[in-house]
Amino acid sequence: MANTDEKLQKIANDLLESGEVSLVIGYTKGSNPQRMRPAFITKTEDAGRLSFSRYAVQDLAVFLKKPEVKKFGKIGIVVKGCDEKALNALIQEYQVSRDNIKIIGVECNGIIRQNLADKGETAVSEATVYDKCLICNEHTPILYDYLVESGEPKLNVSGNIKPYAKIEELDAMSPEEKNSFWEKEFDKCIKCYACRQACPLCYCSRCIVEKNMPQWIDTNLEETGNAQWNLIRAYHLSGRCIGCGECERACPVNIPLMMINEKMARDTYELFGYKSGLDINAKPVFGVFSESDFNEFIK
Amino acid sequence: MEEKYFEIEAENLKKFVNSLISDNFNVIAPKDKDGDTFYGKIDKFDEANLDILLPKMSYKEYLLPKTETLFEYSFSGADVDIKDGLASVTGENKKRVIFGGRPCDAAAGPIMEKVFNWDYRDEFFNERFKNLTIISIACEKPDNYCFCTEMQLSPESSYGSDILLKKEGNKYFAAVVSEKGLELITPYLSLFKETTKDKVPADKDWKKIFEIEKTKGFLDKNFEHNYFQDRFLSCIGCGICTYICPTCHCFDIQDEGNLKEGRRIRNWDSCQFAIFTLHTSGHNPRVTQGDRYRQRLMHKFKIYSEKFNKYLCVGCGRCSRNCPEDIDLKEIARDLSLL
Repeated sequence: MANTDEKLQKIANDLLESGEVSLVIGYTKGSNPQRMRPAFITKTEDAGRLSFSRYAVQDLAVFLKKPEVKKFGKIGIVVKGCDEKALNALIQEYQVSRDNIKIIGVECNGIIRQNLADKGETAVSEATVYDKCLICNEHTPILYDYLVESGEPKLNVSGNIKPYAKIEELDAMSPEEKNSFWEKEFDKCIKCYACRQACPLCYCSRCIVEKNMPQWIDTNLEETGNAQWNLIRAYHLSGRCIGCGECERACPVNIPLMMINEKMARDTYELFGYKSGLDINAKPVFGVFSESDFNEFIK
Repeated sequence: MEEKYFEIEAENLKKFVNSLISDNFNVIAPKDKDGDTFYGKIDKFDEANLDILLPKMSYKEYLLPKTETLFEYSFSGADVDIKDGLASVTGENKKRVIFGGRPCDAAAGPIMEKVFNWDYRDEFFNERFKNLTIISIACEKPDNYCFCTEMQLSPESSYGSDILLKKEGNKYFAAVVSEKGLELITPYLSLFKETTKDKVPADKDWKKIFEIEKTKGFLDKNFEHNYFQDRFLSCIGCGICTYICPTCHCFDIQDEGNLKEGRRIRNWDSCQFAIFTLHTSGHNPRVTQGDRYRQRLMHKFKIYSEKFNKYLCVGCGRCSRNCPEDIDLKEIARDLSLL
């Protein structure tokens, strides 16, 4: 890993030294040995702080929506395969200009679930990584300006663990059963909006929950308000979510948000043959119309 | 009241809690849920998880619910019927006991109580607070995110508890520190054995790693310091730190309803949201996330202590453990104390 770190540090150093970027967003060591945290490097002498490991859980693309970060103009960013898809989707939706970004792709062989890492888990295995890692086809980012190989061992996927298994269980349920399942989940919601804030693609400068003339979404943190919030977010991310799982990781009350997002992503793929974040030149699925689009719902 | 001390065998503690439940107390305790532990109502002692350090969220919601109905209105013809929300609070939370929380959580009540009785006496909060009896268990092993000792408390502090339990082997020592606590155990005294203070193991010598007064000293003089803008570039402005905090208490009053009926409610709110301070003019005095995180630090370590002589932080470390971007409040408070 030392090698990975050194390469990252060198790239950041060179980018800052040459003035090609004024900020590099990467990872550095966190508050305990099993945690990493985002690092914002603006001076070459700080480049040595950069690091990468199996604990580098955050999707750094989220920071590109922050006005304070946008001010830096040209930015270098360290991305894993999943984060890179988020970045692609942002480019597709004209939120980020490809010309302003230097993509430092880093090969990733799976990220250990943070709750396990916090309890001391150190091994990357099928049982310890996120579900998104088990279905990942982009362990090596697709689009990058620099690529740093990982020293981490390859993730061995036997197929014995079924990622997002609960989705199929839910699919088999009756509408009433589904409703009662989600009612129970949404009941836990405290509307801290961490799901929105942790999402690289939730970039509206004014979210619909903050629009109060009229008040589209009930403000309460009870049944109606919670259901409306979680449903509207599900719809706004359909066809856009790239599956980084940051919403679910951030959620302090453990609502299985990725079951919603992954389900919507699967449906989008099934109906429109589209996956978000794979191609910066592709038009977002809900931004285009094609005569061959699924239209069975028109009776 | 003069503190009273008792011994209680672990088996009897279980009997005591089970008796409370069967005698119609609403007992809230750390309880496993979705692979984590949260405070929740238990129907028997065994549902409580007393092995973990802290539940993921505090029990603030039992003092300040996520959404509180202040009043409801309905029209019939020209008449308006107003129903005060307080009535349901008075009915609802009689005899509520928080069992098995930690000293940090217990301390949050009396700290928050100050602002809810400041220029306005908040009857909702007071009603809930009055009807809450708190039985805490002293911590044996705080983790690296804990800093109650720096926050003028300790893993063995009884501040805010009605009864503080200290585990020793197969029994507990119970310090009963309030009338409310004494009243609670009086019907069950046969399960307890009275003892004296000298028999209770002395508090350990908990070491501080920084001086919170120095953190305040920095905040007193450095409102415009670059630290805030640089350090909190990594803050994504989710409200987690404030929502899981035992002492953060900001709320937002909203009306929900139509021309026939509706209600006025107050919901949890957070200073970490940009819209929190957005003026109708469009101006926002807290433009950046750095401004907003600074506000949280100022409120916790400066403003509140100047007004109420208590810091608005009990050092539980929840905000640090649960921050998606690994912003560690203990580390920040320490860094500021050294700047």
